[in-house]
Amino acid sequence: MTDESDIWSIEARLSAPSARVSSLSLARAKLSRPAEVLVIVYATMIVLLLANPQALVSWLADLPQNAVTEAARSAAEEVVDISARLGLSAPYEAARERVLRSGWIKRDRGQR
Amino acid sequence: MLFPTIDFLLFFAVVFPITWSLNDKNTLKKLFLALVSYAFYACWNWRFTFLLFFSSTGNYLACRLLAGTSSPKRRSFITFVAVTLNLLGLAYFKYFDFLAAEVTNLAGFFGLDLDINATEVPLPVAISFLTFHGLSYVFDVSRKKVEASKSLLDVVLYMAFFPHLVAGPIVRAADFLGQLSKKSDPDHIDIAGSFALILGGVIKKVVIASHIATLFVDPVFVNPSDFGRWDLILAAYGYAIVIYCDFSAYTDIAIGVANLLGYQFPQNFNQPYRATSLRDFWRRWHMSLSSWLRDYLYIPMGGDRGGRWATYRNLMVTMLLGGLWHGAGTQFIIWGGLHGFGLALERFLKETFGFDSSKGTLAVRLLGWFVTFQVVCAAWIFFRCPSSSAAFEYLGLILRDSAAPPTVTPFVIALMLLGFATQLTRPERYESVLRWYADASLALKVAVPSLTILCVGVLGPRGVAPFIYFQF
Repeated sequence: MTDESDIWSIEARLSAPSARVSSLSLARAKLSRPAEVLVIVYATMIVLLLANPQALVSWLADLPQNAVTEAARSAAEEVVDISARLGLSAPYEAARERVLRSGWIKRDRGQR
Repeated sequence: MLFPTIDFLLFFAVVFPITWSLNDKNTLKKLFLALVSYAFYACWNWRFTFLLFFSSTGNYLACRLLAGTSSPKRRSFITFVAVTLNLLGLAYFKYFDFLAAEVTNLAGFFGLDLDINATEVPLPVAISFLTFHGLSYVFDVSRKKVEASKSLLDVVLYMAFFPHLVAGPIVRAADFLGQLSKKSDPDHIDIAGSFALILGGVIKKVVIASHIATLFVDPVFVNPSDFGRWDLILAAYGYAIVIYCDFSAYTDIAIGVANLLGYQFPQNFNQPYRATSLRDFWRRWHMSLSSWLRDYLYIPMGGDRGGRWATYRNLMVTMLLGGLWHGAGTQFIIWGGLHGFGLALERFLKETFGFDSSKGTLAVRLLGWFVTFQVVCAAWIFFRCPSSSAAFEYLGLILRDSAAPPTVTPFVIALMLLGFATQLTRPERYESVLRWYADASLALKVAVPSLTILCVGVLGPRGVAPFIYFQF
């Protein structure tokens, strides 16, 4: 049976943890770049949907009303309920309310 | 469809995976990208998609004809016709009404009663950018810098590719058509760099530019006589920050989105308000336009090869036309003229006295920066005002002694300073952040854009105003 020291030199043993980290990084890197971007984009959309679902409801309300947008709107309102029950949208709403109450900003009047 | 909106996020979320899933079938991918680019453009006015298609087809045919002949006379003739047709479209949509009004006014001045009917045709979004891309292709083929594409699809996509379609950057045919000829390399996606450009762009547009514009700059420029001298001066500085944050935001997002889709666009801004001379400014501001004007207008006119005065004339003519390109109005011509005169004056000082504010001691460079920034901000007043007479009135109000107290809020001042701070941060500072993001775990990679967008939502105004350069 081979002694471990035959495999790992002292330097190698010292560097073993970082080697492990880099092997983990490599495992992460196996995700191709387009796949990684896709994960980031879709996961970000889910986080935004849960943290500020009201934005989606407002956006859908501005679209022409038809069966599809109505269905999407009721689904979005369900997300609003779920997010509120879980307290996920509370931090965003509180922060937004605070900024609005500060009087720093007002509604967009268009710009050139 | 504006970039920092839910519409665009959903659009991109669909376009991105389909584009990469078609990467091994390059023709199909290009067809898909061309179709979604036309859909993107149709969001403003679907009728103008025909203009886009005819423009692309016309330039494609002209370049095929150029490729089929070696006779210099015939090549010149074809180039002349293609350039004229490109410019006729621009002239009709953008300048006809302006010229008609000016000619009518002039005739009235001489007692003549001319009645030239205005077209009242709506201005196609990005007509100037379309024309620049078409001309770039024709000129590059004519000068044999790029081969005429055999694929109509490539030319259609080059002209219509949605990230640059509406407000640039102006991408050269020589730089882009080669990228279309082969499948994209996924390893060329710079995830950290692209997300930094996109998120930075969203912050610059939604938080900085929108608030400064709506809270302070727009009210001052709409009714300047209601405000005192200090507000008028600060609004001019404020507009300098607004137009930088607005326009650079658009092109930053465009460059980032294009990179995520596998295509490289040229840099368009490099901290322009650090410039220590006007020449330096134009190397940093809207770089794709200034290099376009240099290569396709200034140098063909003779550049600096015809002696001193010819060089000054060429600089002046180039900048006057650059001003006119921005809009049909005397205020834009004056804006271009001020820059042209400044560039010529700098050249005169350098040639006569050896004075170059970009290369002197620290004190000289600081003086150069100060003077350049004031000239640029003063010229922006013409750019922002609805007419040249309104701009002169604005300048007159600044000179008038007014005791009205400033109304600008600390929040707006803070945003202006934040906008200006983007000019001072050395690019190397960003590098370490980008490296950190590139090596971060996937959870952190999701957390950063999520938190950034939520913060923008908290701090931003309700709704997003169109980008300023959409009108050009």
